[in-house]
Amino acid sequence: MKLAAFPCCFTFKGLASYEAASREVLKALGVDLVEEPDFKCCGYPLKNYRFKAFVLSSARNLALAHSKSMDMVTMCSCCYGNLKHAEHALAEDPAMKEEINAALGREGLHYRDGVRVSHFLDVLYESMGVDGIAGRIVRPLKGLRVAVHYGCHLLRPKDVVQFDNPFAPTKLDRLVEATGAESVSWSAKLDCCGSPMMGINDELSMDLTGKKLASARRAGADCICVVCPYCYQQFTRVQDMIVARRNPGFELPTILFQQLLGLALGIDESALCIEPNLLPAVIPSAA
Amino acid sequence: MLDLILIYTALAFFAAGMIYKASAWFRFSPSVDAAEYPPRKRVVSALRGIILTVLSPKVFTLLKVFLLDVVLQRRIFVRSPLGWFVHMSIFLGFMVLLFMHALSKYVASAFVSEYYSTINPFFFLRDLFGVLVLVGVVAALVRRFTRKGLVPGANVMDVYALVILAVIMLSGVILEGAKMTSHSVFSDMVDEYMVGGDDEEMQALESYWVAEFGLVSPDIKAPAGKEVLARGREAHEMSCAQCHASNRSAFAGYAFAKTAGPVAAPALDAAATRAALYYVHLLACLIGLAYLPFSKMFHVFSVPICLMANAVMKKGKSDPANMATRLMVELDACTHCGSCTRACSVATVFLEFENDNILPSERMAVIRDFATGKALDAESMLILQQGIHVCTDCGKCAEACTSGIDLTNLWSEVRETLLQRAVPEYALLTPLSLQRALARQSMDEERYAKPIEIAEAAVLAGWDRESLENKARVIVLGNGGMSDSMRQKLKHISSAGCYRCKTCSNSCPVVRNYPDAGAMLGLLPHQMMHAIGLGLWDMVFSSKMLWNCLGCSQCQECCPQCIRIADVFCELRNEAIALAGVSHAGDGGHSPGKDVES
Ligand code: HEC
Repeated sequence: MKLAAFPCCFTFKGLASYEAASREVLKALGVDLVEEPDFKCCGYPLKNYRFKAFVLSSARNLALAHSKSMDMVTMCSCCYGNLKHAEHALAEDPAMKEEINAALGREGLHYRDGVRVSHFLDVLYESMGVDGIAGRIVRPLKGLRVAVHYGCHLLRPKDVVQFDNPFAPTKLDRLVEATGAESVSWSAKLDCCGSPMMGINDELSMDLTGKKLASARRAGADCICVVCPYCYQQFTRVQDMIVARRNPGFELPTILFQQLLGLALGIDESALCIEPNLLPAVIPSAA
Repeated sequence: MLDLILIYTALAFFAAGMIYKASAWFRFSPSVDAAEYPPRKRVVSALRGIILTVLSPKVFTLLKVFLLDVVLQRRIFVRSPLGWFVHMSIFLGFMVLLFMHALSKYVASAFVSEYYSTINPFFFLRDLFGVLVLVGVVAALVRRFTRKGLVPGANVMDVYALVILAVIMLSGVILEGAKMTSHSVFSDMVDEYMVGGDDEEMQALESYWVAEFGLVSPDIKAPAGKEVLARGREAHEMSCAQCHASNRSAFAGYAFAKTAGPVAAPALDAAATRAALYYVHLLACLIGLAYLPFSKMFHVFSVPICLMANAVMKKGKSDPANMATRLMVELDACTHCGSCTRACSVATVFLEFENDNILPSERMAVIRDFATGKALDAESMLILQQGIHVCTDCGKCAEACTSGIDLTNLWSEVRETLLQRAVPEYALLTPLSLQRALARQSMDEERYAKPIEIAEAAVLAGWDRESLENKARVIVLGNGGMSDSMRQKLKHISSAGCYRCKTCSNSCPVVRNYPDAGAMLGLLPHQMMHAIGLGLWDMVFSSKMLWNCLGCSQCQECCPQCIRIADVFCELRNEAIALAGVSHAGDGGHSPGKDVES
């Protein structure tokens, strides 16, 4: 079965570093993903607006993957959670499934279940295992204290996404620890990053992000490590906004898990699009 | 004389049209800041910008883009090599014919001392490029009408552009063929150019032209003998060959002459026929020219300008007056090729909203009308506003655009301009507004915040008891498109055993964020569940909680009774937006393409 990389709209132009870092790490680990240029948005942003349009968007991608006998791997946690959610909704509501298939028919597609959607963390976790990854580390990130952030759509609702224990997840922590870094325990770890409110209630969004940053800092973290592009944007660009508007008195570096792992695998930091001022925070010896 | 009048009239129309169109670039703009840049200022800025660019090293960028993107059309090639071949056939064929044939008096003659259209290579090339254009036109039509998927086919303007080209080329070939068969043309030529020669020789020449050049003669019916032909050939070489390559070189016209000649020669020989053909050909060219500024063919000017301008301009760096002008050039540079729609990440949901303004290629013309102040009715404006907001700003359209239009920037400019109308835009209450928020530093605070307030007010309004009764609104849960089973769950929340343990509210990061959550948010999640169970829809839908829910599912995960609280909230937001759409229908604020019973 071919594994197709499912691209996130958000990263295509807005976060090219995300795509580059993901690609580098997968290449280094020998994970072979095919590109499918006709994948489109998972529909996440439309969920609260026109639910059926959201399900239709996901269903189209799933149908396309099915027609090409591909399984899907997402990097983005939102894409992951929402593809799963759509699958769930389609299974639950045969009437809607029929309507959606009627619409998809106009593009010559038909939704059937059976396409496996996985998050790339799962691909690493299952195909290589934590030990397998640990065995490939050439630049252990010893002494680095990381606040691991999963992102809501990777964890909840558990019966839909089925990734990890939603109250005490360990997968990402173990992968981070495989790089030699330490995963600190922090109280706001499982809370939302605040991204869904950005653009609707920015003050609330910044409150939530600020709280998470403060919690991570209190726990003594050197950086926050995220996998989802929305969360990443929140902890970088929105953190900049918080710094500019609210003067919290500190800044916490944010690193993508892909970048963190890439560094530990010995990949060049410029290939991982790690900004020069971030590096000393992650690799103390590079200071 | 008549020709000259026609030509100058067409030229006058063309020039006036060009001035009118180009002036629109400076008179209008869909930019939200357009008012700050009056036309005079924009003309000055444009001239300044052009001069400064041409005098800077950026001139090399311009040259490179001109060569690669304008002449070689790299952007089309990257999207589709077949599309490139089709477009190149038309582009190259047309350009060569324009300079070698139409403007031969000025161009070709300047390079060749004795230019005659009937000698090679010109004779052959004229047909070659004419046929190339025809092949391109037919291929383009076929491609447009056999498109699969969601990309719309051809519109009237697309068809007009292709048809006018086809008429020009076909009439040219037919006219050429008609002349080849024509005995009167032949006789005139003989009278003029035959050197000496008796009747017999003339007879031989005619036989030779009948045999070799597609001429149809009323006198010569039977094929001539070898000897006669040899003499005819001699006469031909004496008198005609210096200006006449074999008519077979002009293969298309010759093919027409050989097919139509035997049956239609007398009709084709009539001077009136040839005159008619000539005027069809000339008028098609002149109509094409006069109407060019208003047709899609205007892209031959706007696209190169757009490609080159965008190669050297950058938002935030370039003069904002020029950025406002550039938007207008961009709107004129759209060729409705459909690349953007093919690449669009959300095109699929067109199937659900049935709003063709969701498809980027289809909203360009509407935006142009909007930008140039054409009166659009309220419905069209709404369709545009909704369509342009159903967009994730992924940037794939801009990457795909063969004209190099910075579509992402165009969308965000137009969105802000539309939002100034203060018609509620519900997409602002979804993550579709994230990119807008990330760019808010470049925006006036008030201008940024106002549209969100308007949208929120619109979904919260009208839920007090009194207006509910006045409007006699009926709650029709499920219109947001959520599942039947979900609908059932909503109705049975109280019987599902919510015992108001408040775990949902206690686990909610939004509730936890406010010391006085009730005052900030209205009903808290557990109260929402209770109100739903009691059918107190006015309380449910007037709660700000609904619009401050992250959808993070903490509540749902924690609920000891496994009530799908986050899903319920999602359903309610869908419902509220659908209902708000209906109640705002009167003031032009409903979401088009959606029926809700009320
Ligand atoms: C000075 C150059 C010149 C000479 C000499 C000349 N022609 Fe032509 N002839 C032309 C041109 C140029 C055209 C095309 C005119 C047009 O397209 O309207 C033409 C067109 C024609 C055509 C109609 C189109 C075609 O290709 O069949 C015929 C028939 C023709 N000439 C016959 C002759 C004959 C017979 C002679 C020799 C007696 C001759 N011409 C000598 C220049 C010449």
